[in-house]
Amino acid sequence: MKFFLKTLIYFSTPLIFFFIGLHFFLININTSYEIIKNQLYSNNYECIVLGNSQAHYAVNPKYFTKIKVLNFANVSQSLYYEKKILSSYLKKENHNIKFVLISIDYHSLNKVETSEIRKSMIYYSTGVKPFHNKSKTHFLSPLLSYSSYSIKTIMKMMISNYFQDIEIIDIEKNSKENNLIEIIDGYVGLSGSNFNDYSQIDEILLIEEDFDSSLMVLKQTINLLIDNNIKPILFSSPVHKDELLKYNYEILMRNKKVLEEIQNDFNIQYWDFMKLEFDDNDYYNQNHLNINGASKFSKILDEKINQL
Amino acid sequence: MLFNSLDFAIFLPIVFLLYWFVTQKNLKLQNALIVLASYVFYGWWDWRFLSLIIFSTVVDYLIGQRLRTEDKQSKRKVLLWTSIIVNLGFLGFFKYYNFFLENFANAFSLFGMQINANSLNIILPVGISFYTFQTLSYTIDVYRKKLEPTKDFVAFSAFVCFFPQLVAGPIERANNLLPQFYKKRTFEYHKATDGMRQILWGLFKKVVIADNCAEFANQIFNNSADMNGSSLVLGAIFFTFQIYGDFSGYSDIAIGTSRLFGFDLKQNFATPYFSRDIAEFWRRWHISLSTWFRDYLYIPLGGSRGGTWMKVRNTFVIFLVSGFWHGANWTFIIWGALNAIYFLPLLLTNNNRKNLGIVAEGKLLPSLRELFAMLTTFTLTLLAWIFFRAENLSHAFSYIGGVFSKSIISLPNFSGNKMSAFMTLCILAFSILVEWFGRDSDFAIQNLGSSWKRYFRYCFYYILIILIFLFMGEEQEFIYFQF
Repeated sequence: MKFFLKTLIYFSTPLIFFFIGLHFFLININTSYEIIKNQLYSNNYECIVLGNSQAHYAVNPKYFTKIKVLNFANVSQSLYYEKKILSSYLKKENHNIKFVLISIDYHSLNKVETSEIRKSMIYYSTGVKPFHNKSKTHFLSPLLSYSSYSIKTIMKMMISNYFQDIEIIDIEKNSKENNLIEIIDGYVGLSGSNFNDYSQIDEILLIEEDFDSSLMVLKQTINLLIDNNIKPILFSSPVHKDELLKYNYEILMRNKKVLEEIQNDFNIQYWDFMKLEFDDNDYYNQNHLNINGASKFSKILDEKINQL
Repeated sequence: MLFNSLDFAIFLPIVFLLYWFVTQKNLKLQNALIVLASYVFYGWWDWRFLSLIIFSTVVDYLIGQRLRTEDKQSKRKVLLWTSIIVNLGFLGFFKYYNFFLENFANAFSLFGMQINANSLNIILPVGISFYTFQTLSYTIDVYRKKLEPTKDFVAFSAFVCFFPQLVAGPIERANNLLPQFYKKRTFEYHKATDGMRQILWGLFKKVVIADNCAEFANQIFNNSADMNGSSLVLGAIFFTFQIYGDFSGYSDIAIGTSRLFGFDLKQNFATPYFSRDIAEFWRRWHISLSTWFRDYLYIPLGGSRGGTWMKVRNTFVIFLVSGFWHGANWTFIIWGALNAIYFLPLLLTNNNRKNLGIVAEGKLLPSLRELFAMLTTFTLTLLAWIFFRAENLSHAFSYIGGVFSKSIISLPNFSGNKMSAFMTLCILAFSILVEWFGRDSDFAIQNLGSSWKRYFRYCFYYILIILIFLFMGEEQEFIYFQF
């Protein structure tokens, strides 16, 4: 038995060193989450924007005149991750945050598929574990808190990126490379317009299986903010009229009802700009504003905040 | 708990150390640890269903005790049937209730009678088909007086719930596994290292082969209407290796883990895709189930002793039941029937025991004749797997219709990552080579590299481990968990 254990240790040692080394190497990779997290911790922001792509492309912090804003929203991002990152920030720092704008659009309360690579990036950059963590042993150590497929996905990406000489900066980089601008206070703008052909789509249907958990996360986020003396404000960004026509009436009505309940229960405001009409050249596509649209919309938000 | 999970990677060393360092001196305590560990292992999935295993254990233990003292044949029969009804009753309820209900309702509707068939939302307890058959083998063997009923309840519980093979086999016979719980186990270095090697190869087959093949097989099967013939063939090939990698991988991990604890389980797969005919395939595929059906169903029905009609009937019964065992779906039944049709000509011409040895034994390569026979058998099984994988019969027939179309000679048109599919095929080719060179062993890498220097051997294992990490997908359940 002793010989067996000795052989096992002898055999495993290089592997253990390899994986621990890899883990620490991955933690130090410069990802978009790392950049935004560093911005959050190094600047004294007064307002944070949370949400998915609609908010990510719609709110440009440089147009806010009186307060310092960080756009923490990201493409196809579940509010869960933002809540967790913000929660640890609020615990550690003597923060200066007064407002948090939470974007609620047609998609927000439905299932968000977070890719493995993104889960890995979030984990290694911020330490936030995925929402659906299958492992029951994650409580034992932070190293075990996330299953090893995160290592696999990042390793694969690193290998392919190494050969293409691309730095891992943003998960949207490959698809939107031509339109990408520098990340400033979390904002990444889209230039020009690239309207999709919606003629084939009658209705934008959603996977509703996560509605209850999404609503729970939203309420938890609001509670977290109120507990920390921060004013949460719900808002919806403008959406092109073609997109609005494709929305399912029942889902819209359900969202409306839920938002009314939240406003009453938590005594918070909801700024609905979903039907605010912008020119076609203010949109990148049917449901995302471009740089022009973002500047217009951010100024409107700035005015509203200044009136508070 | 899945073998390919972090949870198991922590669970196994803890149980291993407790087993060999804390409880080693006391056999009863060691067996009790196995029972406890097995219940934790099973309860990790859903603790509520532990009650089924415990109930089944108690029933079969008590029936075994009664059979010891009961000499009257009629009463012995009642006891046997009690065990069969209890065990198969649970299995039938959890696995087949909705199937029978829906089919009865459909049958009555053919005669214009509408039956209100409210199906139940039943969760199938993991491993129920496996441990049910294992406990049944005990009662039947005791009834037949081939096995002395055990007085040791802890040993019997450990036999029923032994965690390495609890949820997906191999289905062990009481006369092989149960006596191993009576004897003091001593740690054997070579057995343990052999076990580790088998676990490694099993994980490789599951994580690298099966899970990666699954990605493409699922994509092609789920969108088969949009696929051309060559894509459909590729999909069937991916599934053929997915199911092999998945199930034989599980068996290897189960057997390897058992060896770490000093137990010897029966071999469950013996390179089945190198079979030269379908009879050989069934001697090499899921051996523990095939032999179970042979001993407890086929032989009691008369086996191949009767006339031609008897042989045909018994062959169909065993294959149809085997298909039905896999699941409550007509696709599994047709899969079983198809295998019976493949098997019958060999049986009726007395050629079913022609290929008993290993293909090309002692040679580097097979002869052309052997290669042709292997490819023919592989193609037949591949065709049958389409039924096994399809959602329903119409899906299976449209899939096969798509395969036999002109588009079979065009390039595959599936939308997945072609580079990734090509990589998977390369790894598949590598694993087929390893399996070919290890076909005379219990598992492919058992003797591979035994004459190499330790550093080279370790490098080979490191490569396998790194491949496992590199290709690891999201923790995938084993296919056979659903059976």
